[in-house]
Amino acid sequence: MSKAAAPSKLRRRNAWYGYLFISPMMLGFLIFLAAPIVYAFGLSFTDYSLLHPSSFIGGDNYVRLVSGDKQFWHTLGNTLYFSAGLIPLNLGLALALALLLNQKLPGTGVFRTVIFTPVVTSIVVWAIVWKYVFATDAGLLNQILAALGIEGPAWLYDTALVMPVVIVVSVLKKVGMNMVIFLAALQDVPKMYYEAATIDGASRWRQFRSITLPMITPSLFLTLIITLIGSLKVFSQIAVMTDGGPGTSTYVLVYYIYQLAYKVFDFGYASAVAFVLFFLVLLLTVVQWNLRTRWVHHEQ
Amino acid sequence: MNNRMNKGLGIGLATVLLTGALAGCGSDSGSKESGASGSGAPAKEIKLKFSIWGNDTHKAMYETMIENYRKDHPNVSVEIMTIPSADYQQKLSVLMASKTAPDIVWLMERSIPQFLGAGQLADISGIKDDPNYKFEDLIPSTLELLTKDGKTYGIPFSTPPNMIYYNKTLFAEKGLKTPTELYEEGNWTYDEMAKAAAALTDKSKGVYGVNLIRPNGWTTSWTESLQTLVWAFGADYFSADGKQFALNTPAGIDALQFYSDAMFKSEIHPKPGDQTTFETGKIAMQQDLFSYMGKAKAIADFEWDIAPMPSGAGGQGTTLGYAGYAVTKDSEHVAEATDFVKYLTSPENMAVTSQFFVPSRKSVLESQDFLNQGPSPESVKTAVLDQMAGARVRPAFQNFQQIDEKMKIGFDSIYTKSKPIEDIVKDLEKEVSPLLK
Repeated sequence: MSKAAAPSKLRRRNAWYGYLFISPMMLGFLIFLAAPIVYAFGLSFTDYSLLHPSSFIGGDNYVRLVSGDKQFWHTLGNTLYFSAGLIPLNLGLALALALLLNQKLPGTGVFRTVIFTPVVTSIVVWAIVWKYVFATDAGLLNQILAALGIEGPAWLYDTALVMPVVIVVSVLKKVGMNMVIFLAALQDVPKMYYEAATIDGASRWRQFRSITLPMITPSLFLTLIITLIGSLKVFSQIAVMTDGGPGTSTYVLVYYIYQLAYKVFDFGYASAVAFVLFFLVLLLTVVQWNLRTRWVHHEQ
Repeated sequence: MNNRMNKGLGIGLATVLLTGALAGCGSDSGSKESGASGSGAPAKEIKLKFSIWGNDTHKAMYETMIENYRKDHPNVSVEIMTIPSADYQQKLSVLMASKTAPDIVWLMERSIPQFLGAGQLADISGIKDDPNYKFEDLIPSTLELLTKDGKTYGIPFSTPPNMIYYNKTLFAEKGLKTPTELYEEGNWTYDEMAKAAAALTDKSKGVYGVNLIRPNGWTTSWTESLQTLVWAFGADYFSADGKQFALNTPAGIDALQFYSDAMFKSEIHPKPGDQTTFETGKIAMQQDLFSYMGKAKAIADFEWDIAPMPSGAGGQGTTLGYAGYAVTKDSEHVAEATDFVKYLTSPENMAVTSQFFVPSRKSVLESQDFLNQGPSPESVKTAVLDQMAGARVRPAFQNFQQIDEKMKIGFDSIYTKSKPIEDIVKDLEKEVSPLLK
């Protein structure tokens, strides 16, 4: 009996240590993340505003969102446009850069640093700099175009151009992170596969298709999820560079939530929109997680 | 945030201990202070917060004034908080709701109804009681926005008419009559301005004839920069009682068409998003407020002067900017904060602030010192003093933020040229009217 009790006591004690060690993180999560999320969910059923006392209004906010708010659907469309533009560009460029900088060439260290630097730069600083680069007339880009005899457009005041501009600026900011992940994955691929493939006479492209790509699918999957969720949460660069404009052409979900909550003070409705975003991210993550078994060939 | 609070607490604690120690040693100034507050106990350390949307030169001026204030009130310290003007009202609303607002705030005309209506400003009528303050010296019309039921909720400190800053050197090069000369002849109109601007525009050098948009003002253009133009064309954004949208008229369309054509047709006006400033010498005529004077005075490359706004079918439409100091009701130190406002708006200190802000005190406004704040006494008289009587304060609304959002979106259609002006004002009427009811 005493023999059977000893390991269980030990296990229980170990479990307590475990809880103790994760408690700082868990407490922080519960107080600063979980509680506000639950509170915001409650708010989404009220008409809470800074300007008048709030009352419970049931599902009215969600009804308004689905049936009466054209701006919401327009905003959702803009957000998906942003994601659809950003993800392929970001992943494609990151992979291309990683393949290039994985070669043993002189100067790769410098280039890796240069490409990674924007990741650790403040997004606000980054966006302000690019706002000046894309400024009409006096902007760097239009000055260069003018020197070549081309009159540049008003980049940030053209409804068709503004979203692509924001996408490019966002890609350049974040591409370094994905590149580093890909670089690590590429260096993990055992050399023997390439040696065997070379002996078999496989072309470079064939080696990439049949060895590199399958071997780095876990990383591809990881970056895809991170980039997708990140793209749905885009805010800072929009707030700084365009303020949602011109008109509403760069209104994205988080900007719309911000605008509803902190400019119009419609906190109840803003919370409802925030929960739509929450469930959207959740849904996409679940879908991707389930597709993982089909996409990921190799996982440790 | 947390960190800063802790640090603040630490400093506060240290100063309390220090003053305690000094008072214990029988410091003279300490006992004098406590006598003034009438409690008999050593004066308590008081920290006030003061929020502004001004620039560094304004902040430096206030810091000097605070230093002087501390000579008589060594227990009071004032910390200046700068919030960019574009986010000011929004940020302050949130701070007020969470009861963490500064004790003393700058307020602009458009945000006053919201805060006053929500009962978030303290009644500071007591300020009138001191005969040395000379309350009657404050121009009565400037007090209206901050008065409710006969009580005073703030003191205005800046009531600047807008004006044209022009590059004299560029006008001389082309041999054109300056706006001041045209004004004296009675010919200073929007047509004349457009003509002069066309002559001054030089695309190869990147020089534009006229810029109505104030620095960094593209997103706030409708209210900050274009109200004057709309009034001058005999139109208005809203009806006089503020209950109807009024821009959908031929005069309103003309005003916006003039503006759009200046940008895209005659190209005498910088294009949307352009950030070129008057200081670079590439803008011949720039609309701005008196508060720009500080930056203008630093210009060394060319000569400049100021002139009143040109007139159109509806007169000059000069707008009066408006900013006042108010004390927040939830402040823990309403009495001390009120005293500080009284200090800032005393005749002597308003003379100091008049280097940037057109004073609301008659005695300061009409003083020789104020006339000397501009490029020349004559031009300050013509472009500032003579315009005060005819200038109007922009309308203010309790739900200004909502109206502002819709107006911004509508005005962006001018910049993107996505709709003809007629459709823009029609759509605006549809969007904005429900907010005015």
